[in-house]
Parts: sequence; structure tokens; C-alpha cells
Amino acid sequence: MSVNNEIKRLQSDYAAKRIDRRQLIKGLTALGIGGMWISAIEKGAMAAPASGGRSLKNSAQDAETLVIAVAENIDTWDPGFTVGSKSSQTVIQNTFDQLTQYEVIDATTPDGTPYKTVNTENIIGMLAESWEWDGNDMVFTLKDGIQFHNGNPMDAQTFVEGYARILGSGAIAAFLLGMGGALTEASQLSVNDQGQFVVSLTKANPITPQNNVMHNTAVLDPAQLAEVATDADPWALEYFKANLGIGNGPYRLDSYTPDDQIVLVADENYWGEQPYFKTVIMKIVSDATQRVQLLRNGDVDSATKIPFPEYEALSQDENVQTLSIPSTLVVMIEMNNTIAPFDQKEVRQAVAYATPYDDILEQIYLGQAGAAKSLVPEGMPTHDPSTNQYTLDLEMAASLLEAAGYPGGEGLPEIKITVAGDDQQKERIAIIMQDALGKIGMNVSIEKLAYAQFNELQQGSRLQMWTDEWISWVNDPYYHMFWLAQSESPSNYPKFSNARVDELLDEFMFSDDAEGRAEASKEMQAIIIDESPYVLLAQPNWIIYFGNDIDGYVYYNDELPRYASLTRTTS
Amino acid sequence: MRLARYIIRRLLFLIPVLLGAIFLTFLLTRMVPGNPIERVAGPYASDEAVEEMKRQAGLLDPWYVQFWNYLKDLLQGDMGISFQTNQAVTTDLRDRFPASFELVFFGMLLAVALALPLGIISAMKQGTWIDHLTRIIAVLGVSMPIFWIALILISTFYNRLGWLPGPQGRLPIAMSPPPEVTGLYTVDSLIAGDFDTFRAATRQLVLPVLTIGLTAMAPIARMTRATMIDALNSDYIRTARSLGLPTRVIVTRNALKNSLIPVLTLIAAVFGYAIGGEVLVEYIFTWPGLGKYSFDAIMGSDFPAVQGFIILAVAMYVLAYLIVDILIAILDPRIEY
Repeated sequence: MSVNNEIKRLQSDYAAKRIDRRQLIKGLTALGIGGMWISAIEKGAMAAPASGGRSLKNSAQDAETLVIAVAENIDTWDPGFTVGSKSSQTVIQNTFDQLTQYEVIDATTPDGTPYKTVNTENIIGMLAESWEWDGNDMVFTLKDGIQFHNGNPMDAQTFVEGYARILGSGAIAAFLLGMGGALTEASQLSVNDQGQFVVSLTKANPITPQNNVMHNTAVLDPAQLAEVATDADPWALEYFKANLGIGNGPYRLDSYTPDDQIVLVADENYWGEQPYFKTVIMKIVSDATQRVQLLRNGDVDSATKIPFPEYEALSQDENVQTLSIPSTLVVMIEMNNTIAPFDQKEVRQAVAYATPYDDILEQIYLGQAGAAKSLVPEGMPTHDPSTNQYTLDLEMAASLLEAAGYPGGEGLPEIKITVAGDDQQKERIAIIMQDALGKIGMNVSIEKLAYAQFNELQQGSRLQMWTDEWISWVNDPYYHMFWLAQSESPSNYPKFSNARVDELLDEFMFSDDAEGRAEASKEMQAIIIDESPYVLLAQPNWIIYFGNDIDGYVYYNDELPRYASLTRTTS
Repeated sequence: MRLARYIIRRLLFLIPVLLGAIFLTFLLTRMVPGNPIERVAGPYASDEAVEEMKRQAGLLDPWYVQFWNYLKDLLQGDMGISFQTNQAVTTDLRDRFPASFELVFFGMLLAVALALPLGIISAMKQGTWIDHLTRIIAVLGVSMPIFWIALILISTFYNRLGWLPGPQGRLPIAMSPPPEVTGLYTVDSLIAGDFDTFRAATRQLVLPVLTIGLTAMAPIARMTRATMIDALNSDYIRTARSLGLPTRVIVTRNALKNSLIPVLTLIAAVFGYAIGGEVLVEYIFTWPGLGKYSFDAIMGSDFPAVQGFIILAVAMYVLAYLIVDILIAILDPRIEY
């Protein structure tokens, strides 16, 4: 929090008539009373370590130890099932390698800062030396000398058994690899005469290889699986939920103390190059403000999940380097297409026309976000913003509301906009939307729910209108639209249903007709813009915060850091 | 002998209290909307998969069947598996209890060490500057939010002055804990003769302990002052004064002993509250204790964890009162047990 920012926010809220004079005076008075204390805190927070460059403050930390402040505990250790906690996903990504990976390339941010990222259209080998299509088969030639941390060698049979567990256990990865029915049975996995690992898909397609890059496809050591499996639990789901399997990546787990820290150490048996950092400590710090404090004071080398309002101060801190990278994350208002009044297209369009997009970009994201102009985000192939007609137009919004049978909002049912947990950004978006919709006579109340409650209602399609966000790990428009717009998709929470969209998804999702895919993608984007099940608010940047002595970061579209690429520049 | 019988009677009384708490908690966690399974399953899970997970977790059974199963497991020391940590709740509680206990114990020790002298002096010097100062401190301690005190202390002693470590938990990052004996790092490091770890653990404790101490001190100081004023104005103290007893003896042997009874009850209440209630302090100081565990469990509708935590908190609360009742019985000869 910044006093100046808060004062500016109050002033802009008053100017925009979101608050009345009494609320303005009350707010300014409160800031005045608390100002001295707040100022003291801010000055304290701004106090940078002594000049002369960043130094390792922690006496127990050596140059080859990397310390990252993370926000979450582990929720599961099973690679096939990590979908919630970023800490779980990060540990799996750094302790297990996959068959393939994306090619790393150089890129520059819009302001000209160079950085490294991945080319999602070029998948190269990781544990595999190479891979190729042979008809509908994906054929993987494995590297020599690859092994698990316990020294057990990995060969094609290891992958047959590892993927069989993924498919048989109903893991998240099974769902992803099985998209479109491409890979559902263990009988589709084999070892050929050349000792190569062969995955026989029902149809060659562009989605499965990208799903196959993700950390969820990491395979477990068959010998360990045989040891811990039971008759009642042949895939050892209970065991691997509570215990990390023997890995094959650059790091192995050293210790985990819930609510305290996760320690990874470089594994001496790793088949590849040894990483620079021999130890990585993921310090679990739940409070975002404290993560910022630790970073600014040099107690940690990096911090994750930093709120946007901190960007300005951190980008000016000489001990911290920031990198603001455009991402494909889309922030949206979602409306339940099966509940009145949002079952009418005109009402959804009215909301889209009443949304103050620029205010949200400036006030919530402080310029560190792009406008979201299509459900397929900028940065994803076939992104087409051309049919997006929505700009702030209250007259148009009011006339659409009237056309829906709610002139001036008259006759509208009670409307709630729901926000999950303690997400301050989403809550502020909800406040802006509440004010904006009030201007066309749509009176909206804000409802804050605990995450579990929110998830239950959202997944049961029992919310009316809510704030949400989505990023697709596979940078493909069909993958993306399948999850958000296919009528049967489990994550199509607004229950949007359009026969033409379903038809095009069905026809082109697994097609190798690049031109046809691009045309159909654009047609679907236009339909979705017109139907407006989502109001597309922003594409926030992915912002990285590191101490200024850390180098080698690569941005992957799954947003998980790969610690093995990082180094420390010592003076 | 009579004291032993009294303690046993009180411990037996713990059973219906715990049963009541278990039943109420069970009902409340089931009544509040929210289900852990959807969150655990994630956005990709199909409806069938979610239903299957609910069935496996027993959440599709009628509530009374769930309750009966829970009670049966509980009698065998099984509090269930946490949906969020995937560990046994008993393991989670055992791992986190020492962190909370160490924090609250030293916090309460500080609070009592400050509050009793302040309350006594304030009562003896009514209307003087020291009395006013004590009352201001007490009012501030009661009225300032605990997270505010925590942030001010971090800002001052960590950010600005750099005298004390920041919110990094029980030990500095990259330092290993001492071999576990009690789970209290200060005690275990001394047992191991590891004075570096003892110093580090003590330094980590200073700011959160100060936060709890300053907050808990306020009501105790106010209560001590009020009961001391009553005692000092009572007939038996006037008699003692008229007999020429020295002030020191009157205060320590007569007035304080009598005024301590309500203060001790209050200390028990504050301690019982603090052991599970210092969510914000643990959250801000990254302290891996019960407060943060219970907060996450409540937010995630993690029923087994919430229930396990409440059973432990009720037990701690009742035990704190039991200890105080025993002390009061020793202090006050009028009480029969």
C-alpha cells in the first residue's frame, strides 16, 4: 500500500463518482490519521540495503544456494496430479525431466528488454534425443545414459510403464494426453525393434505433442512403483500423493517442512549437466507483503506472486531486477449463460459495453497489462482482435439492456458478482464493475467467498457473475477454446453453448490443415465475441522479480521456473 | 489426595466438553457451504471424477454416518487425512504445535512479566504520570490491531534499523533445526549445546513474541490494576496498614495474593485464545504453527483439519483453565475441592 496511491485512488473514485464526498473525506481523514504510521512503514519498506550492490545477508547462505520466497505449501507430490499448488508443480518440474521440451529462444519485451523464452512451435528432445512422426505414431529415440536419481537406468520400457500408470490412474495428464481420444489405452504404448518408445495415437495431431511437454507427464521409477504399490492401490496413488517419487531431473528433494520451506539439492547422479545452484530453498511465505520485504532486504533471491501495486517501487529498487513479460493470461468477467438475466445475449453485451477497460488497465494493472481483445489471447497463434467491437459506450449498453426487456435496469433480478478468497485485484475489479454497471441501472452487489466455497459454486455453475482468469499451458487456440468454450468442457463455467463453435472445435482441433484451423479459429473468436459469455478485461504481464545478481531466467508458458538455468554473478 | 481426586474429576469432565465440541464442529463444517474436493480435483476434472473422489472421502454418506465413522476413527487416535496437506491430521498438529506453543509461551511470559508490575505500580500510584502511562499503554494494546503492531515492529526493527531478522519463520533461512527433543527450538538447541542455533532461534522469536506480549499484556495490566485497587481499598488492607506492616509486605503478601485470582483466570483465557488464535501473527511472521494451519484449513473447507484443530484447541483451553483452577485453589483456602 502507498499513501500517495491511496489518495490518488480516492480522488479518482470521487471524480468518477464511485464514492460520495462523505466517503472521500472519511477516506482522506483515515489516511491522515494513519499517515504517519503508514509513512513510517513505507519508508521502512523502501529502505534498501546499504549501497555497493546486493550481498548475501544470510550468513548460512552461500553463493551456490538460491532462496526463493514462494506462497504455497505442497498439495500433492504425484506428478500426474499436480494442478493446484504452484510449489508442487515447481518441485515436479525441477526434479523430473520430460521426454521433450520447447526450444529456448531469445526475445525482447515491448520496451526492448532482452530475455529468454520458448518457441512453443518447436518441440525438441529432453530425455529423448529426438522424436518424429511416423504416420499416427510419435516415435522417441532416447538419450544414452539417462537414469533416475537412484541409478536405475531409463529405457523405452520405463516410459511404457510410466505412461501406463498415467493413463491407468486417471491422472490429470491422462485427461490431457487423451484429449480428442488420441491416447487412452496402455496398448497404444510400445517399444519397437530399435528400442524406441512409440506412442500410437488414434490420429496425428498438433495438441498431443504439446501436452506431452508438460511436467504432468513425468514418469516414475517402475522399480519404486512395484515396491510401494498394493493390491488395493496398484498405482500407489496414496503413496505418491504423500511422497515424492525418485526423480530424474537436475534436483532432488532434500526436505519439506510445511508452512516453512522446501529444500532441493542438485543431484550428483543427474544424467545431464550439473546446475550452478547446488541448493534451492523455497521459503514458504504466505503474506505477499513479507515476500516483498524479504526480497528488498536481500534475504531472498526472488519472490513469487507479488501484487501489481508493488511493481513500481520494486522496479526502482537498485537491488532488484524486474522483467515484465507479455503473457497469454486472460482476466475476465464470467457470466452464467444459463441464469437470468445473463441467459440473454443482449444483457451480456450490455455488460461488455459498460465496462471501463482503460480504468481497469490503469488502476488495477498500472500499465503492466495489455487489452484483451479476443478469447484467444495475443501471443497465441491465430489471435484475431478484429471483430471486438466493445469499448466503453454507456448509451449502447443502456439500449441493449432495454432491448433485453430491462429498460434502465427495471425488472432485473438481484445480481451478485462473486470474488474468490482474498484476491485484492479481483475485488477491486469487482468494485469498478459494480460502479460501471450501476450507471446503466444494473445494481450489483459484491460477494466474497472462501476459495473452497467459490470453487464448489463455480464448478457447479451456481454463480451468476464472477471474476476469473485463465492461462493455457498449451499455446494452441483449439486447446484454449476447448477448455473455455466447448459446451461439454468441465472448465466452461459460464456454460456457454454454441453449436457452430462445438462443430468447428470437433472438426479442426486435431486437424493438420493449418489454413483451415486458422480460418475456423477466427470464425469461433468472432462468434464468442458476439455472444459475449466472457467480458475480456486484460492480459496482465508475467512479472519476474530477482535480486540483481541472478542471471539465466527463461520464461516458459507454463510459468514454472527452471532453477537449473539460473546462475549468480559474483563480483 | 483430595487435590488428585479433583484433578481426575476435572479431567473426566473434559470428555463431555470434547464430545460436545466435536459434534458442534462436525455439524458446522458440514453446514457451511464449500467442499474441499472441487479444489483438490482442479479445473480439468470431470464431474464423474469429482463424484468418485467425494465417495472415496466418505462425503456422500449421510452426515450421521460420517459422524459415527469419524468418532470411531477418533477413538483409535485417527483424526483423518488433511485434504490440503495429504498428511494425517495428528501428524500435522504434532508438527505445528511446538511452534505455536513456543511463540505463545514466551509471548505470555513477556505479557505477564510486564503486566503484573505495571498493574501493581499503577494501582499504588493512582492518578500519577506512571498510572496514566500504564493506562495509555493498556488502551493502545487493546485497541491497536495485532497485525498493525506486527507490521510496525517489522518495519522498525527489520527494515529500518536492521537489528532483528525479518519474517523468515523459526530459524534464519538455510539454518537447520536442532535435533528434536521437545520441538521447542530454544530448548532443543540448549539441550544439544548448540548456542548458535539458540541465539538464532531467540532472535527469530523476538518480534513475534513482542507482538503477542504487547497485545496480551494490555488486558492483564488493566485487570491487575483494577483488582489491586479493590484490594488496596479493602478493610483487611486498612487493618494491615494500621498494624504498621510495611507496604512491601502488604502489597506482595496480602493485596497481590487476593487480587491475583481474577488475573489468573484472565491469563488462562488469553493463553487459550492465543494458542490457536494468533493466526495473523503466524501469517505475518511466516511462523509454521497451528494458527496458519487452521486458517488454511478453514479457507479450504478442509474438514478433518478443522475438526482436529478445534479438538486440540478445546483441550488446550480446558487444560489452561484446569491449571488456573488448581492454582486458585492453592492460593485461596476458602475454595474446597
